[in-house]
Amino acid sequence: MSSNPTANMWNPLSRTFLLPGELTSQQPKLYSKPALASFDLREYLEGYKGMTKIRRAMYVGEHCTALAQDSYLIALDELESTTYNAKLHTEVSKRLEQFGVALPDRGEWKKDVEQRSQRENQELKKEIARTKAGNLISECQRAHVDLANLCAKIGSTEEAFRALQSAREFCGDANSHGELQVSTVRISQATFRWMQINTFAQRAISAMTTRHQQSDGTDVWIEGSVIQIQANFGDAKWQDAIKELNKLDIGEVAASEVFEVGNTTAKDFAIYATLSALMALGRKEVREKYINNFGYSKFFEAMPECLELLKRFYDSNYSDMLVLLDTVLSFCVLDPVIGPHVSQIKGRVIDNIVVIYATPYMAVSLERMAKDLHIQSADTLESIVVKLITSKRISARIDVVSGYLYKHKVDPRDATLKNIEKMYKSFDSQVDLVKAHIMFLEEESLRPTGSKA
Amino acid sequence: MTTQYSNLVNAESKSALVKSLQDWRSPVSDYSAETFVPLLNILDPKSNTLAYAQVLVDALGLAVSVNEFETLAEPLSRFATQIQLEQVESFPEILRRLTRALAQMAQLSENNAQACTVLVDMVGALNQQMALTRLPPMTIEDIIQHKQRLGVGSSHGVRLTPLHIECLRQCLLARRRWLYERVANEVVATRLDAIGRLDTQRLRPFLEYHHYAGMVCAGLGRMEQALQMWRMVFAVPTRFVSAIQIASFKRFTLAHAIVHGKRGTLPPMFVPAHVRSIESVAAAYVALADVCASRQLGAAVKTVRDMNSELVSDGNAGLAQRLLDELPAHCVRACADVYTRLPLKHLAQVVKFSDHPRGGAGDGADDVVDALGRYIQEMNDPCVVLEETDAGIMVVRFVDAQATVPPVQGATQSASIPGVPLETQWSVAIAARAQEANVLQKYLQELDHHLALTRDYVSRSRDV
Repeated sequence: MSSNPTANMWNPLSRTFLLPGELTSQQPKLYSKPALASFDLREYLEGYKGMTKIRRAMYVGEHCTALAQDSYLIALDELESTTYNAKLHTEVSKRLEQFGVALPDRGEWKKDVEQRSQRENQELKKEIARTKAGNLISECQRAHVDLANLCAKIGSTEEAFRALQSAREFCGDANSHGELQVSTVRISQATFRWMQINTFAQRAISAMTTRHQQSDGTDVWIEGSVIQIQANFGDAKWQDAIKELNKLDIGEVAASEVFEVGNTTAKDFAIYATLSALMALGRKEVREKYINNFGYSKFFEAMPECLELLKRFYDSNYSDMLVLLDTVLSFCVLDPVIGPHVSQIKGRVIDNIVVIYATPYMAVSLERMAKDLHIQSADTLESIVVKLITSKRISARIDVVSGYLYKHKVDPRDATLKNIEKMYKSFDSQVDLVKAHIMFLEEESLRPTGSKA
Repeated sequence: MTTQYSNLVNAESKSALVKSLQDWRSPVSDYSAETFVPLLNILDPKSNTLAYAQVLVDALGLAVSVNEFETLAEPLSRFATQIQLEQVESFPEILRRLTRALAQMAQLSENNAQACTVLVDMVGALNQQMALTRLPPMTIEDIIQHKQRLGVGSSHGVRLTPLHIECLRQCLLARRRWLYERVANEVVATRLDAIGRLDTQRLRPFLEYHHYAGMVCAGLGRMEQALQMWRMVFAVPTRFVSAIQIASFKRFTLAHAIVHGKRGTLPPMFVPAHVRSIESVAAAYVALADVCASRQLGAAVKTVRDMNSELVSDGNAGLAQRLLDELPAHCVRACADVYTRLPLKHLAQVVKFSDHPRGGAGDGADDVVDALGRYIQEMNDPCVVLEETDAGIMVVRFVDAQATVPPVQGATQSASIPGVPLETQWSVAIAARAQEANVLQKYLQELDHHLALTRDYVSRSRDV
């Protein structure tokens, strides 16, 4: 019996550890191969590097049996070429064996990476000691960052964070502090702990007093913003993601090197932007900010389906748009960022469409609306409309008898009088309370000392 | 009679009378209550209030049988209407003795209604006399310019006495609707100007008075008034949370859910730490109010059933039942924010009326629909209208509760909904209310200012 009670528990998102309180013995939901015609697993994973690629490949393997074997093989290749993580290698190998894949013995490789990692560890520790003794601040910081990257390669993420924590005292200026935060973010991105990633990204941005380009050509501000958008999507914070998107100059993002880092791809960014637009924006804004925005051309090239979605949305071709959306989301379910929230995202897109559809009309037939929006039935649409009316996104009332939705107008004079009445009642009640309070305190102040309350 | 009573009746001066009362020892049970009746017939309660009161107290203390109490009924009622405030003020302790004696009488005779009637008369007489001592009301300019105290001090205006509280207590024990109405109209409706010094205690009587007053109003179905009374329990500062405040909070929570369909908030001046303590003690009530706010009939019924023992022991089972009765009305009215018309059957499904005791009595869906139809008719809400379509389907139509009527050229007909002002009056109504609200807001700001000044006194406040 293992001493670790979590040892035999399934581990969501391919982590080799569990977040506090996250004990589950449930199996992940399985999906079929994406219906997206242009989808190719190898091409999809090619945009990522290092641990991000490995974790994503494992996520695909856990959620799609048809692609599991290929994705685990890709993960294994990446593990062997870019990491020293023997433990994860063993785990992935075990998963592949379940598919009957005969793998060559990698004992030599494991021995070799262990020796190399120990050697590099020692060298880096010596370097840290030397630079510390010689008061060489920037070299010392770099050595710490290299040590952190080494720990991440071995698979000791907590050790990596500790090394980065120690590096903080060797930050000479705001720029080096910002770069350190970016290093922290890059390592943490593979953990899929979105709240933590978001915090690190915010720190990276706020550490910079001016826009700064790192030695690898990436702009700290742009990278931090893109990571924040991804983290907000991972955490299902749609409004925050949209706010961050609105702050960005898309042309700058397209021209930056941020997607060369290997943690986020242009395809990911296209999907985040498109889904944000479909969830929150109107047709006019979609045309101005997305369709007619040349800055997005790079991203739509990587994912042409996104542009098609936005065009159908703008053309009010909602039924075809929703069909294409289902196709795109069949791919998104295999993405660890968006995958857990796909049904929520679709719900929000439908809500937005209903609001846009209903807004221009004084009265609209629910039956007709359900047909146009490709919604199952008028009853399903009614429950969506009820939700939107209750959350005040639509000012309308449903006449179930006639099957129509009528725009609801509030008489401003009526509203004013009601507000005044409410205010008056509230003041009236408060006055009595405060008068009693003061009356008591004043009498207390006049009472001779020593007498009982 | 004896020297003791002789000295009482023939006291040379007020101070001698008060001294005699301070050292008073009630007679042993060698006497009977009837022995005092001739003395009471001789004494004039108006000119000799204190002596009369003390004799009454002793007589009531010795009475044990219903007959004895009946012989004292006439002297009691005479005293009740002729009690003199000025004399009572020189020895306020007499009120406490009277209160105790009347409470004992109610207990032994098992006639709370009689005790309450006497008390209402006494309180009414005292209130009338106290009202004459009221100072002229201060204007806002007086407060601002002269920085005068807002309170009238503890010796002017209508003040709390032990009789007020016992009156309410006896009313609640008597459980007579006519008595509830009389107490509500004559005692509770009279505005208190001060807590005063007619009781040696101060804080507890204030809390008790408003707690019982709330219960009287709730018993009559005057929920808004009950809510205001229970809010007043949290108006005064206390160092610790009182059991009376906890009991008031529980009733306040239920009453607020009855009236508004959701949990109420305590006054902002009440210490937040105390609010948290009270909410944790009354957690079940808070949970019930939250369930009601979510408009889940089934969950509310289950919650009430689960906390039945707590409700019964707190004496709140009636209020909880009332809450369950009102809850479907809130659910139906909430539908007015979403629907203009819907079939009654559909409404029954939306509000899940079958989960409610009123809806679950029958066997089939039609029974639930019919039950809901009856319920809506009993609601008697002009904004929720039951109609039958040409196809014979019962439909619920929601009408906006308009405060104003849209302008119609040359129309002179009265509003279809009672209380709705006509077009020509709406601007006057809005202007008047806006002005009153402004005046109150200014007054409130000055009260806040005074509160800041009186914070110095808070440090001298005593424990309850």
